[in-house]
Amino acid sequence: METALDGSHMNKYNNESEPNQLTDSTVCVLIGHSIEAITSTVVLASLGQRVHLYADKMLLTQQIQQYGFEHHLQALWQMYEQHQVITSKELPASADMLIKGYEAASHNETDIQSTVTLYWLFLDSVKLAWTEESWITAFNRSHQQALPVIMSGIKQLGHVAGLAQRLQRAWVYYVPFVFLQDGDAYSSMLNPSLWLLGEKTASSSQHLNVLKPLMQHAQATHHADIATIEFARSSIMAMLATRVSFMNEMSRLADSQNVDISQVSRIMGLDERVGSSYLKAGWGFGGNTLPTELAKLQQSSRTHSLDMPLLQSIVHINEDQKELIFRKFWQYFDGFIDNKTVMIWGGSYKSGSGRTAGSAIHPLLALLWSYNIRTLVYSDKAQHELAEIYQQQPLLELIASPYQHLCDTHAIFIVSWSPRDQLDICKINQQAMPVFDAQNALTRSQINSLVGDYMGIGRTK
Amino acid sequence: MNEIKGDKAYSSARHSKYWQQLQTLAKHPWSLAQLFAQDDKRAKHFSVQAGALYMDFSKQRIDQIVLSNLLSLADSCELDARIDSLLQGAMVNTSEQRAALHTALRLPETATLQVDGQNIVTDVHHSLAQVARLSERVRNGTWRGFSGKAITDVVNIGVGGSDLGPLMATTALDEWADTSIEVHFVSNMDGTQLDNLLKHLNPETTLFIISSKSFGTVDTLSNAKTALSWLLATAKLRAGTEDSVLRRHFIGISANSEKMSAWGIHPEHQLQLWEWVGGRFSLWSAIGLAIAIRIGMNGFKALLSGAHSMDEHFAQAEFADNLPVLLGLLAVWNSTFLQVNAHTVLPYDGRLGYLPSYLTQLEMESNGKSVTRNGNHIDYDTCPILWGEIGSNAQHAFYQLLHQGTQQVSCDFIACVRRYGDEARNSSLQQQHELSLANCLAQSRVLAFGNAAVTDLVDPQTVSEADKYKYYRGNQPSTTLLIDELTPHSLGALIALYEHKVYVMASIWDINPFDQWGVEMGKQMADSVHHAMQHMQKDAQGLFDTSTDQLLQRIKQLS
Repeated sequence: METALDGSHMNKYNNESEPNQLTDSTVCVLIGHSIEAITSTVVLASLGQRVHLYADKMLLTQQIQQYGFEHHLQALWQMYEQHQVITSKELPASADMLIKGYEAASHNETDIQSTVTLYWLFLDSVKLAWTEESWITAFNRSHQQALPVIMSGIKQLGHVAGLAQRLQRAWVYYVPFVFLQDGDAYSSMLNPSLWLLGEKTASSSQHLNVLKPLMQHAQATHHADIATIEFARSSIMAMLATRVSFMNEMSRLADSQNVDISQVSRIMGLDERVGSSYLKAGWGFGGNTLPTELAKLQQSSRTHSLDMPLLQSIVHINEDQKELIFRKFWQYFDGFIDNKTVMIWGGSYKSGSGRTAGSAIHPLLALLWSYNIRTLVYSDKAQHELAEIYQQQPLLELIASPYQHLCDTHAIFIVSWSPRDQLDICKINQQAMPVFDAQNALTRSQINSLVGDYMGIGRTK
Repeated sequence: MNEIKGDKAYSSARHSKYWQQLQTLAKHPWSLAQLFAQDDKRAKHFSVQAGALYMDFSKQRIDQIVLSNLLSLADSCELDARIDSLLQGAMVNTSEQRAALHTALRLPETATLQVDGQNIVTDVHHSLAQVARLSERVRNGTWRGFSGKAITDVVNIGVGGSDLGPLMATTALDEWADTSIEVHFVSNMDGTQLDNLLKHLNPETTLFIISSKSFGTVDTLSNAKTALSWLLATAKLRAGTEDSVLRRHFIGISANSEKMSAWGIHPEHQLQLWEWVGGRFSLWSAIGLAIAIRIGMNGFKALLSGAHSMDEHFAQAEFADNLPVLLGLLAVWNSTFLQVNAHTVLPYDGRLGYLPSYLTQLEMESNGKSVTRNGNHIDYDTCPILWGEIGSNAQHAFYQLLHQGTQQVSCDFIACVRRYGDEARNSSLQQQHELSLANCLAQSRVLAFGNAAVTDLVDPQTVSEADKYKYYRGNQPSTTLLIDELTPHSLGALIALYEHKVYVMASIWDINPFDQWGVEMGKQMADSVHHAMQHMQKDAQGLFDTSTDQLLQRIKQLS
């Protein structure tokens, strides 16, 4: 979506989708402070909806700050908030209070501005404030049983379907955020690569006209019962994780065979049966989504006393992979690494994101510090988060430029480097130091032009 | 402040009048059934408590007169002064001219104990800090093998005190293990344990602790050599150097730094032992590194603190209320006066499975002596033959002998009162625990009273001639030790209790419990035989005695 900031596209969607005569009198009520909730709020606003977002204000503010790297989203949030298209409100102590507030307003003909179009609950945030029993009871007591309720979030398999059954209304839906991309949250939701909708009542998506533009612009869509969509969501994520761990396992063999795993990945991607996504070897996967999905799947397997060795292996490989680059560093110096100084480029769990949850930088830093190694970290997007987490660490120095102090260091680690940023090989070559590339960020020609040694994941000089 | 001092010449219990009186009293036909019949508060009169340990010795063949004489016997040999000498670092190990300061290993950091003009508590805590540092590096994954992988398995190579103590304690306290790092123990010379282990371990992630006070113990060094070869075979395939393997995979614990260095142990990975710590008393020192790795330094410190609390009890409690003193005196009474020359330790708790082996060494290596501290021959029985097993297993093994055999055997029943209590899901395990406790009490009762223990079922008077094989004579003496709950602290106290029991016995017998000259000659002879085996030509005649020559000959022929 090219023209988000001026709001032009929202009119387009309004014209195309013909939702329920959306006027100032209607409002979408969203509950949660997660990035999914924030993104949905902005996207709904850009689709011409007025949105009330209920959240713990402090957590919401923190979340918005942490996602400062989502520039597009941030700009739109501010604009819509200024124009009162988005109103963020403190989450009341109970769901009852929230729902009754809107019901009272709907009976009061003088206040037509608060008629609810839908409720959208982001379950991970909701659970911090309300018990499931309380909000389900509140919704079941509501007089407005025709209003749709959407749920989103990663739960153990079948959990959302169970919640939907406990809600007495017919129009209950589940929207998994399989399309959401960190660093590009707004666009990835506005033009979803895959739109999945779980329906409590089959073929009832017409009650979600508000979301119709998203369904129409999705590259692929599928509607099914909620349990199936939950299962599909988990299976998709587990498959992506499997591909990553598989390639990482293969990378170890590639190391011993002197084969460049990146080249192998590209060749594999040429085979249509395989496809090219999630085939890049590196330090593994992080963030919240994939690890949470795998944890929930393992939880489900335990609940049902099922042995799922593949899942266990995926998790094990991924955890081990995060320190593989440290081992390469260790081996390079034959374990004599105490008191060195190293440079680390990037810290987020993927390039483009500013989040470091599950990133390899955490175990890497902990290991380096345990050997009293001074660490100079350059990470334009994750700088703020790293500073917050490690503010007391004397061995950490966050630097403003990747090439600053390069002459003082014994090695360079690459954790997450955006392909958009050009590496200055000449500057690296001035020191001829070894490069430990946990992300396989360097191209073959860059590797070949390095004066110093290069150790990637499944690839060497 | 105390300067190291030579141990004084104490009075001998052997020549006190109480010794004679006890000899006379021992001739009395002691019947436990009668003793209990005569005193309905006997259990109360013959039980004491210290901390988490409760000791019931009412099923020993004693009365107040015997107990009084035993306590006087202790006084007669200046036991209080001997205890003081032990704790203050006097040269109680007379044959080797040194102190025996295992109690100093568990002194709190704030204490002082001057030996040779030096406060050894400082050294002890410096060493403990090293143990803490190394164990923490292993536990938190910072310690890396030659390939950079974190350690997953630790193998403690040692024998005797360098093996039995850590093995017993890590097994007993495995519920406190808060790491996935497995700790294994290898001691035997023939390589069986090591061979079995190496089949399953990954050389990249295995760390070896080589524990040997002298760093010359052939059993330990032969195992260490095999371990090194195993590591090098893998390391060389991955461009790992011998230096790297030695540095990343071996920790040495010894009193001999030179030998550790010569073997290749990196100076930073050498932990110090002191000559004043006997091997069988050494689990409190760096020898306990394996324990610290498995249960963490806090757990290890709780073990030390439990032992220290028993040290204080030993030093301060009146002898009549002093657990180690009473336990030691009862052992002397049984062995020396009643000629009960076999003693068995029966823990009714699987966690204490290695305690009997540990005590076997502690008691028999310490007190298996036949000369006094002055070198005079002894004309009385000293240490009994000691063995043991988990009680419920022993019931299906050697209890037959205890109940109906011809030997007199004294027993220590040991049980923990609380277990599995905090988890509802363990209710069936708790029932098992109760069953075990019931068996413990039942067996001590049957051993004490024989058929009379079940008079309501079997009247001993009516056992027919034909049913004599069903007869339980009873009257086997026993002590029952109840531990409130097995924790690092209570285990420390339990072990220290037995250490001090050994010292009490040795004091009464006037022997030195801290040397072990009886194990030296075998080592020397093994060197000679091994040399002969390696260099023997066809004929082994005339090398040793005809039996040894013949056996050597046969080995040569078949190998």
